[in-house]
Amino acid sequence: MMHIWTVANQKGGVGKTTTAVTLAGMLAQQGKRTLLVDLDPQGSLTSYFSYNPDDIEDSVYNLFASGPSTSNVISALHPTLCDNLWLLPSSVVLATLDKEIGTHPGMGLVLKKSLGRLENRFDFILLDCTPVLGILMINALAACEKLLIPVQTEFLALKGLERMYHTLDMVQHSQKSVPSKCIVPTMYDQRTRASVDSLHTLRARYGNEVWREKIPVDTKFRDASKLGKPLSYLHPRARGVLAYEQLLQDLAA
Amino acid sequence: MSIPTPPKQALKTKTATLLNQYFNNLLLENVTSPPEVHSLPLHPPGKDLQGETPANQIEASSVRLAAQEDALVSQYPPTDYLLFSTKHSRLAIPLRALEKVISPLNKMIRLPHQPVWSFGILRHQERLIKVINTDAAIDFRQKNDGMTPKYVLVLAKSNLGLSSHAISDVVKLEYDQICWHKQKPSETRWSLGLTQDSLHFVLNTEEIHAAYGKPESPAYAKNNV
Ligand SMILES: Nc1ncnc2c1ncn2[C@@H]1O[C@H](COP(=O)(O)OP(=O)(O)OP(=O)(O)O)[C@@H](O)[C@H]1O
Ligand SMILES: [Mg+2]
Repeated sequence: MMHIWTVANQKGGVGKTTTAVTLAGMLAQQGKRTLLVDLDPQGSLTSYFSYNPDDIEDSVYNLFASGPSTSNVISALHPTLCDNLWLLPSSVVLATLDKEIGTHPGMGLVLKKSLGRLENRFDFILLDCTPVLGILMINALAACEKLLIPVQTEFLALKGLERMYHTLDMVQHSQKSVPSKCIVPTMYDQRTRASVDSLHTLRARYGNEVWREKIPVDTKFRDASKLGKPLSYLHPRARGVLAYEQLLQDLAA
Repeated sequence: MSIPTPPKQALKTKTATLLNQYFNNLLLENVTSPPEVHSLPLHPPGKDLQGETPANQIEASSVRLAAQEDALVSQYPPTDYLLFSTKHSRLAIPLRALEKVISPLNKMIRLPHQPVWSFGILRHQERLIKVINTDAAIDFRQKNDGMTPKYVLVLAKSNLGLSSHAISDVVKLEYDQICWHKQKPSETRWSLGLTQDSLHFVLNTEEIHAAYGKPESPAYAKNNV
């Protein structure tokens, strides 16, 4: 069975792309056929794997422009430097989608239909979202069975989270189904007051929906992004990697 | 003069209603793709965005495209492909583009300062075959570990060989069993598309000939050396 997980938060810079890349890398290392989908017109995930979102031709955009057919999805797949790990890249032109088709009925389900065509070809699909609420985020929320919400443990961490929950309510209202949620505290630094306090508030307010552990600050994540491979390939024992391994185990359980 | 602000509650209700409509509309089931979707410019950024194409021209051109596609399908008989893999990729190559597959017994002759995309020269039955590190050729970021490849796929009518780690199968594929790339993306111009079922990249042998058949190194392999 193919699993689709979305990583989203309506706040920027909280570790969405890092979470998607790291988990996908680990799954691929376990031999799972894994696809990463870049749903951010900024294309950080696409750039991570050394593709240029400014002049890529076949991208997620094709699914909206030419329809969610099997051949449109497959011909937009790109290889990465890692075995079993594929990329469906973003293109800057995705930034025009909301203007072009943001009000067309049914356009929120294009991704769900497209990824459905990949059944049997992949074991896991991970979607990396833009922080902006719009057609791409709605597509991602409608397509997935699990939603991971990275929350940076710092002041104002809860702001994006509240908005995210509101968006999910709307999706649920329209779709009658909603993905299961897991809030992932990220960039935790036990030496700072902000980290400790915000984690405390997060657990108090969201209880069971918060993952029992947290992802620590680990500067190696930044270095890995320069080499085009997930961190687990470069530093398998890095503390950030070990934490994501634990997260993966818990998600699979 | 100040602009009158609506009461807070009314604004909230209005926003909620609008948002509700927005979500309901986007998540409407059973909508067949509206025709407008297909008129989205296929060529991304800025290229064609100015100068709108009149609707009748779009129609005419899509009819033409459909006709061309039909012609292509009928011209394209089922073709045999060899499926093989390298250290990092799964690839397919039309059998007719191949002369033969050899397992190199002799050591590769390494040249001084050879670029990453080259394994060296292989002496084979009175011929010298230039062996390309397939991984590096299709992806300029790959490194050459210098290991002699298990197989060398000698391309037809040339002295070029592609390195391979494993040969998996020969399959006959119809035109629509391959998902052809829309355009030739700059990063993957070595690939024409992907096989629909097994997701092997179909090698663009013309591109390989053009890039490596000549003595000089290819433009997009510059960063290799
Ligand atoms: N656990 C961590 N420790 C240290 N640095 C991290 C950690 N997680 C992410 N980072 C760094 O923080 C920055 C932002 O992370 P990332 O790009 O994953 O966030 P994002 O939510 O995807 O951002 P955006 O909203 O812009 O898409 C990056 O430079 C990344 O390398
Ligand atoms: Mg990101």
